[in-house]
Amino acid sequence: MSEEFNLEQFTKDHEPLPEVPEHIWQNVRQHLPKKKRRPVILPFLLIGTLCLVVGYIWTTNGLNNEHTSIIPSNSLITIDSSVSMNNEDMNHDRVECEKSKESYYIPTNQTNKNKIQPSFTLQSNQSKSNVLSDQNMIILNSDHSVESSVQHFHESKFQPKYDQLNSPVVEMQLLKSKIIFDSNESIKLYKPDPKCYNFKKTRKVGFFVETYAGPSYSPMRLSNSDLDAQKVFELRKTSESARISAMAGIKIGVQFRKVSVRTGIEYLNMLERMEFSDQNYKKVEQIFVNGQLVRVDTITGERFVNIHNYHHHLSVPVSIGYTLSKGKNKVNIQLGVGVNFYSWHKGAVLDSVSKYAYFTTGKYPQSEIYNSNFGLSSFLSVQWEHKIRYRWSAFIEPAIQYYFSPINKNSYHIQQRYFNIHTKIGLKYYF
Amino acid sequence: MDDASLVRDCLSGSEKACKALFDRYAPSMLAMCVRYSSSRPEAEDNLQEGFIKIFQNLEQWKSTGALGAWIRRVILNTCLTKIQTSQKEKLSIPDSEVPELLSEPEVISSLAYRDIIHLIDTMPLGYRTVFNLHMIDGHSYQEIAGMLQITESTCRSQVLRAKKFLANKITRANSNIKVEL
Repeated sequence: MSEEFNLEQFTKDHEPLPEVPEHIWQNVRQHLPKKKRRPVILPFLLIGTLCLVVGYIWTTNGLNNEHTSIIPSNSLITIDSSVSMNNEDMNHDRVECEKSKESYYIPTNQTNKNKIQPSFTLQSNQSKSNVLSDQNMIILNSDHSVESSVQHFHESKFQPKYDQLNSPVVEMQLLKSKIIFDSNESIKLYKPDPKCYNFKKTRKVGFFVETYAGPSYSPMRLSNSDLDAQKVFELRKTSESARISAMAGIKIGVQFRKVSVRTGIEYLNMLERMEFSDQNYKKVEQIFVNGQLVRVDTITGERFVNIHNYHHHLSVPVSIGYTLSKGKNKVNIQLGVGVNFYSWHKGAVLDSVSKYAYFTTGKYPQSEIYNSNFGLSSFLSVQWEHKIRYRWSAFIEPAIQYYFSPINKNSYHIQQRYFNIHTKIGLKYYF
Repeated sequence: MDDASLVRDCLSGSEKACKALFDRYAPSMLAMCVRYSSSRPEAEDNLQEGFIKIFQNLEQWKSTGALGAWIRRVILNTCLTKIQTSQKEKLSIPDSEVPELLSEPEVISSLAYRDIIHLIDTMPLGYRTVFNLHMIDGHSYQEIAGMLQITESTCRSQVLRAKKFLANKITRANSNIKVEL
């Protein structure tokens, strides 16, 4: 009898479960992933806070003692000018106070000039007031050479007498012979200046880019040189009024310490509204039926017209500025010129017959009265800048701008001049 | 405790839960390892290595699937990797080594499990692996081909030859048994 044999099922049914040796688990146990521990934040936070507090107190005390702990009394002062001699960029000598283990720096331009490489010791048993004046100065008896000072030192048998408090003499122990310390000027002692260790060259030139936009207001000034156009001139003066518009631009600039130069491209819109009332308005309507004129209606009356006149300008501004900075804030005063290189216009003005006529660029060439560019302008602005993050600043910059030339063509009898008030609001990025 | 909560406890770092998981699945996995290994110590090594992988990658198990199947697959892959890398033995044997199939195979249902496993163990490694995968663990030819990185047709022929080999062995062992695999 043939019976189908299912080996898989047979194995499942009959497979014995062997005993697993304990050492397998012990080996596996050693490789179990360790329990995830929460990051210990609080202790680090406390330690960090403690360090900050201690650092603040220590720094505050150090600053407070800056003007009092110049050099302790009965201390040995070593003047070592070799460092400054080897490095001409550092016009100071290094003064070490062995007792306090503090370093001081003494400007010694004169010693540099004399190519002196002294290494000598100032030793004083005097009180601090004798060593230092109230202005924190060591006044060397500069008319004497070191040799004469040493002679005086020996004559006093290590007990120098300082009987002149106003001009104290600091005894000097010569460590290198034949060295003359000749200084006719008072030497000031300074606390260690971190800048002395900063050998990085500070960046003197910085580049930046500004992008901005803002509201603009351009009052118009009309002038008439043709008496025949006086009526239109008066009508235009009463019918057109300036409106708030907008401007935008982008500039790149370079900063030389406190002076900056900028240039870029700027769009400015001058907007006016023409409000005209045609009291002799007459409208004729012809009504046709089946191609035959059946009626003519004539409407007469007063018509009110409101048209917005847009004058779009593209210019290249160039400015120079002076920067005052404090903390995250900067104030930049700028003076510059703008070169208008393209303008286009849209709108309508009253013509010589007291009717409004459109002057839109490209659309009504026969009635175009404005130039496609009108040259120079000058501006003055004050930019207030606030640093918002690394390399990024936001700024607001009110400005006033005056256009030297009228924007209309010479053939047009009424001259139209502008000045502009605008406020730039934008972002600045420092490279 | 069900598998999901056991795994959750394991992931939270409970060694007790890990031990419980190990005790639950280790015996059956060891039995499987024995079938894929040439010796008991090697099977235990595979089991140990497999469970280390399991505990280190337990977060990869998705609770929607059966934990047993996932563990089984990990252990099996460990065994196969060991076979492929350490022993460097080809998973196939030449046709000349395949014994001829007897004309009248006999039934083996009356054989004890131990006898069958013993017969399987006498097979060459290549046959034994493919035979175990297909006939005992129920993997399809496609799956086996993917595991062993061989073609599906090769896999089929290997299984067929393994069957013939085993049938021949059984026939020789007991001529009264009809083998029909």
